[in-house]
Amino acid sequence: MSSFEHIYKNIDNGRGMLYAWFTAMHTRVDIAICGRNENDLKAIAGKVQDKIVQLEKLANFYDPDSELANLNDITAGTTAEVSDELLSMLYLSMRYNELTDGNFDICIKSDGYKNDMCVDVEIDLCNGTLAKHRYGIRFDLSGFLKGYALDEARNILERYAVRDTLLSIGNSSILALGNHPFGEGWLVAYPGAEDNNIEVALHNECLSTSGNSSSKRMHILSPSSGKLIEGAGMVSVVTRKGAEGEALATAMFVERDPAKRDAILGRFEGARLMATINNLD
Amino acid sequence: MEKDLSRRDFLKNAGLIGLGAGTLLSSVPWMSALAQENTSKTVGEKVRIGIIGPGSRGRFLMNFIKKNSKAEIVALCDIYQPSIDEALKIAPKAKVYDDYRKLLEDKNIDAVFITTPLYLHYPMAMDALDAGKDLYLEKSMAYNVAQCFDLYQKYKSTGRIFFVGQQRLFDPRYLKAMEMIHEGRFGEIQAVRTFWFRNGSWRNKVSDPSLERLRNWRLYKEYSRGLLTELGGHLLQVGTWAMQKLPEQVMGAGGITFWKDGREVWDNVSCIFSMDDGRRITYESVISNKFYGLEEQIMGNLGTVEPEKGMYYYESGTKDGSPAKPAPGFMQMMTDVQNRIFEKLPFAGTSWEPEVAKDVKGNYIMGEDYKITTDGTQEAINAFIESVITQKQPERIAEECYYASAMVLLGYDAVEQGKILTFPHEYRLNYLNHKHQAKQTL
Repeated sequence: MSSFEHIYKNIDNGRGMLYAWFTAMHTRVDIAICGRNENDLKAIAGKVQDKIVQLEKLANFYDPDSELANLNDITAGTTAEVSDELLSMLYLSMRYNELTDGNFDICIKSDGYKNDMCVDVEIDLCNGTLAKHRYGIRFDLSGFLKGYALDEARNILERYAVRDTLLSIGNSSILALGNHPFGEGWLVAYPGAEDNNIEVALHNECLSTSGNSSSKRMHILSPSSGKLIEGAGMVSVVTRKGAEGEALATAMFVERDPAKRDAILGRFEGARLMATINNLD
Repeated sequence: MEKDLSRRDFLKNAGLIGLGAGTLLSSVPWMSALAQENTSKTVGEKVRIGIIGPGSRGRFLMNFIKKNSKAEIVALCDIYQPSIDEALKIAPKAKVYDDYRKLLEDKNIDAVFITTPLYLHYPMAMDALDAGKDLYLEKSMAYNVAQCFDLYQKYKSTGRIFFVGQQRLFDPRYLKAMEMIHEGRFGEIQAVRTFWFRNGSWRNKVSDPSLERLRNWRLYKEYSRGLLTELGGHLLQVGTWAMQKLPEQVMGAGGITFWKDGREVWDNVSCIFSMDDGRRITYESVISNKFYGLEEQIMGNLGTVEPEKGMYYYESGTKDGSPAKPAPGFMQMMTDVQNRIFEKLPFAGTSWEPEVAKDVKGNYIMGEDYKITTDGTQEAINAFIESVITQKQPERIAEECYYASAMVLLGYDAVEQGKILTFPHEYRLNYLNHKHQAKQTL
């Protein structure tokens, strides 16, 4: 059951822009959705909210009742049936682990973590099962889920033929579909070095940002060391898909070698590295 | 056709169309009279209405009755000829009476509207119900709490349709606001602060001094209870509606502080109604300063609603932990869109962290584009007419109206006596937290 605060502005002939905001995935979600009357836009925003909330329930690492938590509890050598949705998230995550040279790794919170644990996970898409072949493997989709939610939201919006939408999950995962009512694409700005805002025009793209907003707020683990990455800084990437944006932004923040970064970036069609900011403090 | 369309719009705005006997109807059952599934069954019916007291308020209501194709004004009664003359311009074919009892004897009248001075409400309403007429009585119900209780009992014993003019019960802004309040979106309602400020004498010009008390009956205690019954009842009903709780006690103070023109009723009055748990509803009127106007400020621990303005405001967080405030970047975009501007949105960055609210801007209860086209009076009258046709008294409306009147009258007594008064158990209904106890059993 969707429930959110909203504001509606009529633009012309009963068509307007609805702005709704709510909390999900431990952060705030803001969505601006255009081109219909208030009731229709509220209903569609509600569908998006419901989907985001459903994904959170499915794949919340910290919720002991989530399907992901149950999957994390199965022991090595066991094969488990997994829902299509969760399996596709895990499958994509494994794929992005390869494409990012291991810099994006959902196994990073495994017991006795090693940066090659993904290879010991066997996903059988035909039978809808997952098997772990090593002790201690646990999956954390926290750094992936918001991007995946953007893609699912996009599917919903396309199902209802909504063309123009700006969706932000926690400010760090943004989907920009179509156009602003009075311009081409959507202009989004984020903080750059020396208090200068960096501006990017998005059109049917996602903007994902990864990093530490301050030196005291570290939350990204390095797959190579298994330790939190220190220091304030952030990386923003523009991608076609939200899920790949999450993986790529994390990888760009973790990988500091420019040549290796370029190699990774080249594997994501249409992806752009927008900014690498160090010492945000 | 136009009337039907506007009614549909109203129901749609109030969230009634498509809900049937759903969530909203269960909390405001009096709206069932206007549900499309019910009104469609009464097409072609005609209620014959008599107006007792077609003064300014009476004629105001007559104009709404005229807009309902299921009603016809067939009779008028007043002792003041200018009122009759004006009323006949609205209902030229109406039969004219100068004695309301004669009007009540007219078998061609199904229902009456009583819009006379307050002191006449009780005898006229009692007679109307005894005469088998369905009754729309202008607020307040009667001159004191005992009369209100008697009248309520008469309504129950006669089984007639009985409405009192508490039109906020039908106002879309209030219906929507109450739905949000009762969903818990503003937390538990801690207090309701109501006020109605005006700057005017409240006096009609009188050409002949002999007409002073007739024309300015509101100013004299013999006929009126002053600001409390004329203004306060609307506001206090909103307070108990929001809280879903009735007060235990009332205290107050009042005086004539500015309009010292021979009037007897206070031009400056305040009352505090307190619940058994310490929560309270306050009411205040001053008619020599209108700066703050009219409002019911409904205050929950998570937010505030001002239904008269059509706005609500959040505190620093909502019950479910949702962000209380809209994001500044998105809000700027909404303002830009209103001004047809395409600008950048400065909000992206690393993950959002909860912030502390500083400035709280309001949100529109009905959406920013909502145009106020009704204060609920038309819908209240439509609901009454539908109820007369179907002979089904909507649930809870008589009780809401009873308490709206009883509270202000008890408040009047508290001010007059300079005491804290407890709501008499013998005048309580079995409604919400109140339980009736007959006097002899106390």
